[in-house]
Amino acid sequence: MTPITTLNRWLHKEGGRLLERFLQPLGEPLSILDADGKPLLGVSLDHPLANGVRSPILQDNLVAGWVLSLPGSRWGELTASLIAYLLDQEMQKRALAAEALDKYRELHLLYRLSERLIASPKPQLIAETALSEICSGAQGAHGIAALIHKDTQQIEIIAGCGLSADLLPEALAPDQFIGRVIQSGSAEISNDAPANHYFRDLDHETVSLLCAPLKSDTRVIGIFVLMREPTRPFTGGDLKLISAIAQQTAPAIEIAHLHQLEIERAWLERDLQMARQVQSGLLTKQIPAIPGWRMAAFWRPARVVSGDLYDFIHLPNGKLGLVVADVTDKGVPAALLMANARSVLRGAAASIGRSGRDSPGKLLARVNDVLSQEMPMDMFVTCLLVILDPQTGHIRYANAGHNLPYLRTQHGARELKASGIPLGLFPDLEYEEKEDQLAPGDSLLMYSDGLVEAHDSRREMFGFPRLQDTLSSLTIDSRMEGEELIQYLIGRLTEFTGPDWEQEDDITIVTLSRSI
Amino acid sequence: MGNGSQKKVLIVDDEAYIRLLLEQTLEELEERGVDILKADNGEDALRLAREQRPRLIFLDVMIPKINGFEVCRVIKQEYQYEDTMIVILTAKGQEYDRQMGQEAGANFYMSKPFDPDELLELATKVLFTNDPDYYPE
Repeated sequence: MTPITTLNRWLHKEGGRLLERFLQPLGEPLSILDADGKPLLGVSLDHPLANGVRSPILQDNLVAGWVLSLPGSRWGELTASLIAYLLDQEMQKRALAAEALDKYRELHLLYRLSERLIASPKPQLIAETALSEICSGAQGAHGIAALIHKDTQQIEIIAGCGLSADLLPEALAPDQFIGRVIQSGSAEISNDAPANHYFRDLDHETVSLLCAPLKSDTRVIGIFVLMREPTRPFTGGDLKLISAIAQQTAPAIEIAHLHQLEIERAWLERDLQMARQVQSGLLTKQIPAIPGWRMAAFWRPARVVSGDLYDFIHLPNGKLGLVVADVTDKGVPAALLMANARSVLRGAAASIGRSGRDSPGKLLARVNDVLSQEMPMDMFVTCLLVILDPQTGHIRYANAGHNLPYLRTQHGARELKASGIPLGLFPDLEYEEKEDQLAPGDSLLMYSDGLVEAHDSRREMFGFPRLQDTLSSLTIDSRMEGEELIQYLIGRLTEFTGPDWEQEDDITIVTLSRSI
Repeated sequence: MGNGSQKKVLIVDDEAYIRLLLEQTLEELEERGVDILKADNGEDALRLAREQRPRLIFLDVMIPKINGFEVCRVIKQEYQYEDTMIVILTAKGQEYDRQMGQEAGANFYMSKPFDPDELLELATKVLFTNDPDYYPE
């Protein structure tokens, strides 16, 4: 409100009443006029006083009005000075009230923001809410909210208010305005900033910028970047207000972000549990029951899902294929490949079985040809395939880079050696084929490397010699076979690793024993 | 509509800074010729309401002498003030106050800290338009 308007309003209200009480007892003709000379208080212009002396009511060297008095009267100038003083007081009061209202507006904004933040479950919504409050408060401002990835320091824009331009990666360099805010954690203003240093595809050459950090207890988790036209620079007041909003918003964004991650993690966990169910469904539940033979299998993933595989495949010629395989790596990629490898193996076994030839070497070669076309780079499958003739106890086996199985006889445990390159690396390979014989009382142990490569607390490995010795120590008379044999081996492994051991790799064990 | 009451607003609050903030919020209306009247207690509020017949009253609840609900009830009961719109101002979250205000015949309810823009918009519409939304039954 200008001094002229303020004077008019003030005289219309309490000022008018005050002056009337002041002027009346003076008995002196006095009139108060506005800046244009129209009467506001006192006598009308048709009175002789209309030709009197005008004393200006000055406010900051501007004439806000006049006091009209008779020539020679000292009251005109005195009254003008008094009104000027009172007007100054009124102006100050109004300025103070305007300032107080601005602060109150900010208070209300923060209050409303805190209410709305509580109601927002998503970081994007919180950022949008805060930005819309900022943009309505800091008039003419547009802006974005971005999160800074904890590990990569990559910026992800999660909300925008009237500004869709992308931030340039260069703008985040520590020697640049925005990068500096991220480094220091303190809000800054850069009025008259070159727009093309910060934003892609912006129409302006220069802009007024304000950047405020979103800070958690330990780091800057994001930023607000506000932009206004260069003719509307940001002020210290804007900086304080937007910093306060950022300070209030950051914890809400962080909590919502963590909550969102937790929900995503829970979904992933649910998917993994489903995958585990699907995967364990792929593994043979019914261990073949063949008179004169006892078989058992053990499968325990290091994570939720596994790259290990075992299988028992009945061949059409009455023989039985026993498989233990291990896909490189662990977790979901390994599990997917494991499922694929199982299908290919079964398919290949069925066709070879029908042809009447049951060569494990040729079967592995066929599987390898298929897998080497499909396998991702740097992944492969080690696989041991044993074909048993249950009538005679004769076995033929081939090995694609897998751990050598042990045959425990009355003379102790020995490795069954056959060499071959893991499946899936190169096509057109041949696999060495060996044969052997299981006598009554003999047991064959097939396993994956999770068993032999387990470490104890001193980082010593369980290892092949220990496994071989453990097997050798079991005499045929102990009748340790099937489930008991597996539980015995797991017992020895647990003794070795200690109870707090965190399983390092998937473990699979298959045993085949010929009854006495 | 009462005679001339549409151009007067009465602010009733015992806290000086709230009166100041409300007056400042309504400065724009003052420039459009609206008279702003102020009272810091219930007695003065009733007296000003009877004498000046304001079109709109912003009324705090916890005020000396006669409380805001009582002031509201009396004004609403007296026939000649039927055109007076009363906005109850009260501390945030006092849902009980809102109910009491409704029972006392208040037309609107605003919680503090009030939104200056919302308050000005309401006052402007009450004083300068005939929007039926602003004349609740």
